[in-house]
Amino acid sequence: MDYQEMIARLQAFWSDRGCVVVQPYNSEVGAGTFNPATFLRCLGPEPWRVAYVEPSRRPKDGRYGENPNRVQQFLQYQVLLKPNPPDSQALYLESLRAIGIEPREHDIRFVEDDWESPTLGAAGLGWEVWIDGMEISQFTYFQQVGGLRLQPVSVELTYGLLRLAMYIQGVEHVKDLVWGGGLTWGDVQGQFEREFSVFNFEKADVAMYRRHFEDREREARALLADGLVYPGYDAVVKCSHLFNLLEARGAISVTERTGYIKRVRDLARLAATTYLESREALGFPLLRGEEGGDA
Amino acid sequence: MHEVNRRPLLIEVGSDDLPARFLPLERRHLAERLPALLDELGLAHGAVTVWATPRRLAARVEGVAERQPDREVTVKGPPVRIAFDDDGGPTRAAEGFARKNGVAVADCTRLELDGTEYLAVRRQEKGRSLAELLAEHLPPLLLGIPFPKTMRWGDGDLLYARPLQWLVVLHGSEVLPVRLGDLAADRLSRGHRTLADDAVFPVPDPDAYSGLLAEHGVMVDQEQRRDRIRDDLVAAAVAAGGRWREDAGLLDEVVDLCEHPTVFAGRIEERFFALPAEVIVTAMRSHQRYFAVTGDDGRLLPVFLAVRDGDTTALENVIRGNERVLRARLSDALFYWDVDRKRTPDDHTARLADVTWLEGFGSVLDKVRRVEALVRWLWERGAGGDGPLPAALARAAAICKFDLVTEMIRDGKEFTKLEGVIAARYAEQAGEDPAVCRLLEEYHRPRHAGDALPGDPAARVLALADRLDTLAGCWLAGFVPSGTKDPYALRRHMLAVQRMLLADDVRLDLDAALARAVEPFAGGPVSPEEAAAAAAALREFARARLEGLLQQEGLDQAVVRAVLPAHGADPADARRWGEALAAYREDPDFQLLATGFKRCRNILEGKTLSAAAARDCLDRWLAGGRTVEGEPLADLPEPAERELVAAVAAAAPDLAAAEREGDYQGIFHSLAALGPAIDRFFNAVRVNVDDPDLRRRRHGLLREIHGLFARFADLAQVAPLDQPPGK
Repeated sequence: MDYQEMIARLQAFWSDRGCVVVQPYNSEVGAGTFNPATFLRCLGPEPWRVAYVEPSRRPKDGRYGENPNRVQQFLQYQVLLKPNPPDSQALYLESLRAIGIEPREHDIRFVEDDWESPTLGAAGLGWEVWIDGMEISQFTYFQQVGGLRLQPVSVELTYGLLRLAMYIQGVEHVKDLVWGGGLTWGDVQGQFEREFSVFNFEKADVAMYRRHFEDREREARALLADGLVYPGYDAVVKCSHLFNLLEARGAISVTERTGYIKRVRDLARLAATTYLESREALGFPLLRGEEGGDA
Repeated sequence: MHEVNRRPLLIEVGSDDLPARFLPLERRHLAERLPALLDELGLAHGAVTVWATPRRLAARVEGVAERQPDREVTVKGPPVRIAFDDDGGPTRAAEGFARKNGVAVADCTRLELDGTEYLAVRRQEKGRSLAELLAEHLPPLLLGIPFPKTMRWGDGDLLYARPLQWLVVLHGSEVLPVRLGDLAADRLSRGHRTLADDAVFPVPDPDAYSGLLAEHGVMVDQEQRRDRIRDDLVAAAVAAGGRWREDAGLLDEVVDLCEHPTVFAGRIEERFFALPAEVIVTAMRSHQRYFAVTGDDGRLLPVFLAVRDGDTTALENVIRGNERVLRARLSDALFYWDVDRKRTPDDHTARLADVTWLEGFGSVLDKVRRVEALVRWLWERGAGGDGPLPAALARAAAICKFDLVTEMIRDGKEFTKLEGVIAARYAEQAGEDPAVCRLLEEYHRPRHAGDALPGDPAARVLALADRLDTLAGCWLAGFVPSGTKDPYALRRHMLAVQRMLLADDVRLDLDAALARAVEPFAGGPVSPEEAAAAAAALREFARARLEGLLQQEGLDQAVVRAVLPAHGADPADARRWGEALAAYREDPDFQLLATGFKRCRNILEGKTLSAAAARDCLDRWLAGGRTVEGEPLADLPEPAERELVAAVAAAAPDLAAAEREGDYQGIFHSLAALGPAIDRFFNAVRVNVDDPDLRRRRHGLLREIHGLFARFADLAQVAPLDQPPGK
């Protein structure tokens, strides 16, 4: 099964399970969690089921496309189910069958791994999922996001698509992964990976990006103060990526690091509370059609 | 009374997968609390068995009564004297009490309590049913398992380690109506997630439980899983031509990671055997949880053993996958091994200049240079032994941190904990003296509480230097331990320093060593005043640790407190003083002495000798006894005081000799002999007399006596309690 086929099957699987299938967020994010379809939508009482592919950027992880397993941009498959269905684990195993992994023929393990994102003020309990000794997914029951306690609780399933595909195809180096249309990952992404590694580690203009961080931070505060949740949160996402980039560039010292993380976290909290207020003002529209509003 | 029906009770709590480390906690909780609860409720029961897998916690209790026994209850009413009027008729109080209890006054009995007679009602109370009692008491017991972390899920408010999935509560064949939030107990359990496809099946009664689970692929009894895994590991190792390398901690964990263990063996490619065995074992153990196999000569064989949660179906997939993961990890390690060895330990060390040690406190290379100097300083003060500084120690100190910049350690994952081991292996490769390699590894000890200490003097000196420097730098950088916060584990470092000194009875002025460790920072990141303040604070910090440590060594707290002020700078010496004092503490003469000491201190009201004046106090006594101002003590008027002065002056040469020879028992022996003279002095002589000159001279005497004794110990700490204050 090639890479694109695997993705298509996951899309179909979660679409059939009642998820809205959205597209990646069109700005650099460190993980699918940053997509507002997860970060904002997990807040408040409204139900939400969503699935999407998210190209995730981790500038520090770039290896010029030479390391068999580490890259600075990789695809995650992200599912958020709110509230979490009682059979979340079974559903996840079912999704593996959809991409040709019969659990009985492998050793699937749920290994304790609690998740925390200091920049998002978020934390949850869950597992990393292993197949035959290899981590392929992160499975988290969100408890808190943007500093806010979640009620109801959402479950987030994050599939590491590259790893999963490499495992299914039995390839040892990411560049050899068969993508589809007769091409490999190396053909499709190799140059991108190499050049962005150069950019992240060697070329990114530190002074300029520091300035951008300041600008975006100011912008985020102003927009959120005006109640413009999405543009405001967009600026927060940009701040987070700028921080990752500056860090990869070696421009942030250990002491500065804590300060930057706190600045992003404060913005994320602000975005979270502003979003909740805005939804409340709208009367939590997605609650309509919910049965038994006896809560 | 009829015989109560007793049947086995079965409880099964199903959930999402719990972390392996939580399972022993929940088993212990249930094994203790469940029988205690039944006892408390007066429900007869037999033995309790508790099992747990990641997905279920189960308990079986033999012969549980279906209800509490009926019991006679006595309800106390008003005292008889107010229950009846003068004519012997019932009062309103009596009638009210009877009515409330549904009886006539005539049916009430009497109850005597503390000499008063009360009206009372006795009646039979029906015991409550097990069903009713468990519905009330079981949920808090199950939800009260002390998990290190709990969570909420769905729309609910329950807290548990992971979402709850099902609940079985059976008394014999009957389902008991217990609820955990929205979850109502029934008889439906579930099978193994893959082997039985998570099938839901009914459990007719507790006797059928483990058999049905086995049919559904679940080995619920952890001991059975453990035996199976251990037997299979042993057999698989033999089949691979070697022996299973026992690893009790890992076995415990693996037992609680599965419901149906199947052991399998994977191969490690020969090319990875270029790596040190520690690296291979760490890659196998720390993340992947694989066991190692050794040959007859103790060397690793190219095989790993692991446990799958499932049967042998398509085991080749599992083996292939796990081999692939290990290959990736070992490939990383092998890459690091090759890259790192292109540089010598000196090359690596030079690169430490670019690694910040503590923000604002220089690089790791700066630290290495300080450690080198401190090693020389410590060696010159005898912390290692006689003779010149060993060349191997000097060399090891110069490269003691080089592995921090190697890729193997910088990787930041499982190999990081091999710091020191990695240095030793790379140093071997670079052709360093074997003694140097051994030191590089050994000076990291003790790596954790209870770990062995460095085995030889050179390793000890390097370990001391490294930790003293860390203590000084971190303290100055503001990482002073407080409460539960101790980010750089300074308490552990200080204890390690002191344990090393005590273990080998090494004499060292730790106060001076701490001051020396702080010195290089003065005038750099901190001012000389800040450095001096930190050295003083570190001394106090050291005293507090030593006070605890010496008590762990069996010394009484009062004894420790008595010797620390005078001798606490040198831990091993303080211990000897403490042991000597402990031997004399119960001596009656010594008790007189301690009491006298305390009286001196009280009368002087803190106006004791200055530190400088106290230093040559013994010399003045050797010269027959005079005050620091030079005034002779021998011509005081009262016989008892002249006798005391003569006795102390006579003891002075013995004290000086014993001190010179380190004969602490001898010192306390000589001091004890002064006890009666002091006692006689305080009985016969009034110190605070009206004559100001005489009073001044007597105070002078007390100061010299106090100063002399305090030189050896703060005897007030071991004085008998409740002495009358000095006259």
